[in-house]
Amino acid sequence: MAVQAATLGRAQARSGPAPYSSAKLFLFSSIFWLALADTVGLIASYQFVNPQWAESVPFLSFGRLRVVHTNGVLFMWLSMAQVGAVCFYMIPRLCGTELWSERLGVWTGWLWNLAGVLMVVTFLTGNSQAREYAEMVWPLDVAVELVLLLVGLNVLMTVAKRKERKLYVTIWYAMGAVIWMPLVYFIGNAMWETGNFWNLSGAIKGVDDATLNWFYGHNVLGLWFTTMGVATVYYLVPVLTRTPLYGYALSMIGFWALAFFYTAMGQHHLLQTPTPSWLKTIATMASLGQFIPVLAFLTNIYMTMRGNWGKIYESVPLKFAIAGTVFYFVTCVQGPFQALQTFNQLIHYTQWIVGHAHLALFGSMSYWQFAAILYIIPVIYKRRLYSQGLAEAQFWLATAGFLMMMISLQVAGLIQGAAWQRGVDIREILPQLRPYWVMRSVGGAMMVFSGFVMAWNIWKTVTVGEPLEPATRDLAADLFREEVEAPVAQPAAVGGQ
Amino acid sequence: MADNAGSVGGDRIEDLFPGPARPSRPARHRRMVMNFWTVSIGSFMVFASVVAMVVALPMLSYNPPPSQRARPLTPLEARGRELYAANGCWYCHSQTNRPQDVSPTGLTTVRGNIPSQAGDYAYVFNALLGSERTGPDLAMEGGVHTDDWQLAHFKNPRNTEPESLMPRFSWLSTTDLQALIAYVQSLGGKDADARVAAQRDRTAALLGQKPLTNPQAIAYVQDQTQWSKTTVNPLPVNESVLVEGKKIFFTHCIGCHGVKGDGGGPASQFLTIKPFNFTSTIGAAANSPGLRYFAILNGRLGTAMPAWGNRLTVEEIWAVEWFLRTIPNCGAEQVPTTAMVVPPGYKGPPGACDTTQQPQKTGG
Repeated sequence: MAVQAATLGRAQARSGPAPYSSAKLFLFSSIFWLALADTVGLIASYQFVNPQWAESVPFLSFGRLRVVHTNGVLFMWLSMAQVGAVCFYMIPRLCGTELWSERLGVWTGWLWNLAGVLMVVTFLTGNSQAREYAEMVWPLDVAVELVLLLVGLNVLMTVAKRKERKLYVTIWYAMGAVIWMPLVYFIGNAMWETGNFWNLSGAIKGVDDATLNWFYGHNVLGLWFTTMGVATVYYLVPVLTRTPLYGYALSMIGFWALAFFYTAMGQHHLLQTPTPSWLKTIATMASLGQFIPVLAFLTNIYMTMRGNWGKIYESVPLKFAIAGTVFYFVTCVQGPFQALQTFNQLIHYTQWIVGHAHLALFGSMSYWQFAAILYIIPVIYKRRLYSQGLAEAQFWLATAGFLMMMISLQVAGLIQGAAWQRGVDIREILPQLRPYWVMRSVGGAMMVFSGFVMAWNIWKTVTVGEPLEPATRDLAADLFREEVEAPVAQPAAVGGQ
Repeated sequence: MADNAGSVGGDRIEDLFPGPARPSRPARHRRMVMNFWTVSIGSFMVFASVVAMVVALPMLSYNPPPSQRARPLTPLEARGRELYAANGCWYCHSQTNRPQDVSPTGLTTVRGNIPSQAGDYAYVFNALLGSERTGPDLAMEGGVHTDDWQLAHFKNPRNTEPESLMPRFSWLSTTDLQALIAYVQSLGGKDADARVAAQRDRTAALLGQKPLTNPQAIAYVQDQTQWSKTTVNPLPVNESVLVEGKKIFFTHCIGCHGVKGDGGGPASQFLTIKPFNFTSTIGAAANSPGLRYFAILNGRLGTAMPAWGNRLTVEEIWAVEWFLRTIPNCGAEQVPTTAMVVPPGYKGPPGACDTTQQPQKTGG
């Protein structure tokens, strides 16, 4: 077996990059970008505590740092981690084949990193389209669109040429994500509006542009990050607990309801703007409808966890995955209520929303990718994780820091919202929020540090981790096979046995 | 329940819905199967139909005409808008005045506090509505402050707002700052233009360059004359009122008026019409309480003094008025007491801290 694997490895070395090269590239890049983008976020948050710090340096100005932080975590950390984990690792595993083109995957990874570097440079030098989460200038929009299409091509071709007959849930979500995201990005960035390739291009005239912006702003979350994140959990929880997924029908309900409801929600970011009321009503209804896919997904995962809860004490990846589902539940309870006019009037424009955004993107999506990275890297390298203790430290640092940040921001948001409703001017309430911003920065520093802990742990795992013989088997394909009716001819996992 | 982990066959429909016999499993799978084409075509179809409803339909059907106050930007203002966008001003400053943002007190006369309308954005690409407020909404900002206030504020926001969190933009070039100020002064369209015109008209009149002609400015001066006839501060004075007034002065006013109240704050170097010097006993006595109240409430049109009516309560403004009268007697440097208050019309000797009228020291 070992000889065969070695032969296989040599054969592939001649024909192209080794299996999982693109997954490795994407995951390592994502860890780097997490450290960078989170550090930038911490620097930006410190300016709420001491606005005079480094303020005469243009590229350390809050308005320029914030955009690097948001786009950095969204497109460079989270997207790369999700593509690396779901598209380039889980999909080949579940398809019982190799990635359609590792070479293309690696090229996509480097192109993605190049786009990221250019993105950071353009933002720091004051170039932005000034549309939230769609700030990249038009040429970079084209680059993003290109890498998304390349990832999509690789995923769809891998699925089309799969050896497993039936599609597991993770594959549905990944296919949905790679089909939706290029469209969402194109429509939301108004990429056909090329009048000015640079600042303030990629927008349509009038207030409708806000509708377009928030269709994008919400669906980059709903149809890309959530989709990929849910795909991650659907893979990791059955694998880490050695338990087949609870329900097929629930998965289907979750998938199709997500596609239907999430797409219609964008306008709930604009409930108090002069935009069409019927659109706001649709958005509010869709936001409430979002309970269906969320509860279907969570029921499915928690029923799979029956009898397995004790395993979260043994496995940090499982701990991250399950903590992520808890935070996801909190996110998805907050979300629909924020989409109600009355509650929206209280918390819109306040720091509450910043807390909510971190809840979704750090508390759930990032946690799921931490789980994926801590699980996948040891499996690919066939080495034991360097330090279980460091992984635990990462979990508790991230969790404590994140809770400190989210709670302080949301309390600050409620104070702000209540003050505004009493008619207090926004400037009069700001000095009272400073303690909460101090707490936010302290929590943020812990979150940033947790990212460095993970980076160190992964680095040591790859370099000096204890080799595993025999290699850890990825049970996903086995479990999946047990679920389907038809016997499977081919062994699914590549390089894992 | 407990045998879940062991029971691994099938897609578990029976486990979910135990009951009468259901069709055999192969038949059910033919119905429920998710294959490549179901997922890819299906997900595209669902997406496309919802997009048709929530994106295409509003873009095709909702095209509000320009509102009465909307106007296109000049090239200088458009350049300022680019700077505003590229430097992320819009992350903290929204540009949507919501119905509930309109001041419930209706106190100020200077600021046009009207909710935003869809037609306000008719001429701009990218409405910059904003999603978060760390600073005030700027939808109606134009003409609320004078150009020189804006300059002092951009140079260092602590110049005009001692507790501001905003980063300074002193590193922008002079031309860029001019563009940025022009853009900010255009926010609110034609309503803003009217406010800016009134400000500039009064500035010119105060500098003695021309008589007042702008009707809005004339109305302001008439109001001010009316208010200056009020010679009594209605708030009973005591030390807690004075300390309250002092607190407000130090958190709001020292940027221009200085920590000593002598008008020498850091903003004053940028201002055409210098901030008022409160250290003179005669000056403290010359202006009636009503005039002071009016100036704080509505601002001093044509000068950098902004309207505080939306930020301070009536009692707070009167408390500040009491405190201002203690400044010639060291109220700004010591704990203000009622004994320090200079009465209206006072013509006596200079106060203890009155630097403006003390005889010049001679010799060494």
